[in-house]
This record gives sequence, structure tokens and C-alpha cells, in this order.
Amino acid sequence: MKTRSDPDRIVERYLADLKQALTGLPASRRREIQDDVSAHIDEARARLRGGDEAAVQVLLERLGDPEEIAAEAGARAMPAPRQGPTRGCRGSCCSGESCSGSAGWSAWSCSGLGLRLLEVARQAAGHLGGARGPRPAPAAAQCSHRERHMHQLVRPRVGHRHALHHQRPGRPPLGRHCRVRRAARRAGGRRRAPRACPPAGLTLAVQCRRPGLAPPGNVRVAGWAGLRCRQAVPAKTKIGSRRAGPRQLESRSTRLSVTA
Amino acid sequence: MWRMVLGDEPVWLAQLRRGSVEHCVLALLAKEERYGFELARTLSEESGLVASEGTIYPLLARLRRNGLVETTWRESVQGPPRRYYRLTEAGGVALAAFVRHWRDFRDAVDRILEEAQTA
Repeated sequence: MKTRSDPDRIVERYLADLKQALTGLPASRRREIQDDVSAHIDEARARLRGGDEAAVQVLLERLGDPEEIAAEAGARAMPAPRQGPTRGCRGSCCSGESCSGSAGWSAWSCSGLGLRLLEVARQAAGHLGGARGPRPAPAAAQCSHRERHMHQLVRPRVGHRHALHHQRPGRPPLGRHCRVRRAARRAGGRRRAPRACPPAGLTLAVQCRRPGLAPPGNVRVAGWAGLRCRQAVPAKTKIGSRRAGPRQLESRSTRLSVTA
Repeated sequence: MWRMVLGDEPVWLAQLRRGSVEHCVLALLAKEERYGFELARTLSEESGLVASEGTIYPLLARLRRNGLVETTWRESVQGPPRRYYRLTEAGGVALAAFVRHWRDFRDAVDRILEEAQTA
């Protein structure tokens, strides 16, 4: 039986880390960067004539941390709002690699929408039920508030979008192209008075996959600025595990979890 | 608080590098086409413009998406096939504009620094 040498394993692990770090990117861009980096490693190893473990380590150090490459690629940056309708996830793809709705996240990000959706989701969780998996977060050593925010928002169901609109009469905070707003308009439901502030305890639904890395200090929930409420939320350490089911994660998120 | 220093390197220097490295890639491609590995090594070893060679690939992908470079795959006698990058017409225009602005910028900074030294 053929066994893999240590340098091969090191390279495999590096490429796996890179793949993980690039999760926030569209599949085609992710593949392109992975292919290029992989070709770079092959080229360098060909010059080293294979190279022992130490040589491969040096080569990978020169290549840089996968997180750094991902940051350069924009995998950890807030995506810009799209200029047209966005596609949403279908089914439970959010937790997997082949999430077809990655582009759709820009819609959820507009005007701090995601945070507001969480408020609605929290209220509606009792009767709407159901859950979507969280978007996987990059394994960053130190996630920023914004990154965490972007990567762990629980995608709400259709009913939540409508509810969101009803919560905000006369103040459409969303972009002209935001599908949430359009969906709400189509639904044409009745309006309710907006809440002045989110209820105590509501925070960000964010998760960084590495345990033990809580954001330093308090996290300001800037997304609530539209409601004239800025609330500093104490960062909590710990929360979800990768293995937690979607419902668990949703309930954690809607209860407010700054997870590390 | 805004960090003034990133590791041992001042933030302004990192930003200066970051702002100019794309155009340096275009400049390297102005003479001849090159492949990714070659560009990465040139930028890290010879000029020190990139700290991590891997960060050149997202940059190259961005240049390609923006139509400033185009690529072709070629077989290599040593190692895997290589993706060669070539400057496009739009890339040439962008480079020319950068060179113009850069010279103005450099001259302005030099003038101020010289004045400060002579004062």
C-alpha cells in the first residue's frame, strides 16, 4: 500500500486550510486561487526535487498564511451590495461547500439587515419554526466583529423577511435592489409599529470556529443604528460547536451569541 | 484604536506597498509575459514588495477579472503546466496612468522632504 510522506501531508493540510479560509468566496474564484497556489507549491517542490519536511515548511512559510491569502482575496471582507437580484440558498446548503447562495449574502448584509432579521427571527422562532444552517465562518485567529457578523448570520425563512418589513413602517432601510424588500412588498402584509430597541439579551449571531477566542471587550451592535439604538453587548466566550444541529445553532444565535 | 504599526512595519508602509504592488505587477508584465511563480518570486525576493508569495495569486486573479491581464496555460519542462500572464491593452493604459500619477506623487513628496531638510 502506498503511504503519504510527511511533506505531502503538510502540503495537504496547508491546502485544506486554504480551502477553508477561502470559504466566503464564490466557487470559481476559490478554485482559481486554490489551483494557482497548488501549482506554485508543485513548481517550488519540483525545483527542490521534492524536498524534505523542513524544506516544504520553509516553502509554505514563504507562501504565507492561508488566512492572509484569503484576506487578500477578500474572503473575509464584507461583500459589496449587488446591483441586481441575488440568489438565495436553496435547501440546507449553507453549511456545505457548495453553497449556491453565497452571493445572496450581500443582500442580507445591506443596512445591517442581518442583525434586524435576527431580532425578528428570535421573536418568530416560536411559531415559524424551522432552521437554516449557519454560514461557516473562517477559522481566523482573531475574527473582527464585522467578519463574525457576516459569517454567522442565520439565514431566516421567507416569513422572517416579511416580518422584517412589517417591523419597519415608513423606513425602508434597504437598497432598491434588495430582495428582502421586494419580497416584503409582494407579500403586502400589514404594518406594525417599530420597536424602539432590541430586547435585552439580543446580540450578534456570529461565530468563529476556534473556541476560546472571544472578541475583546464589548461588541457594539452597529446594525441597530437604524432604530436609533446602539447597544453594547458584552462579548461572551464560547458557544456553538461545529456539530451542533441547525436548530441548536439557530436558537443560540437568536438568543444572541457572540461565539468564539 | 487605529494601529500605527503592523508587526515591525509601519502601517503607512504596508499601505504604500499594497497600493503600488498591482501596478508593479503590470509593469513586470509590460516587457514580457510571466507565470505566477516567477512573479511571486520576483516580487518577494528582488523587490520585497510582497511579504507572502501566496498573496500574489488573489491579486493576479483580480487583475484578470478586471481585464488588465490575460492568461494562457503552457506546458512546462519542469513541474506542472504554467499559467502565463500577459498585459492587455487596458492594463497598459492603467499602467501608463499609474506611472504619470506616481511621478507627480513622488516629485511632490521629494520636494517637501528636500525643503524640510534644507530648512
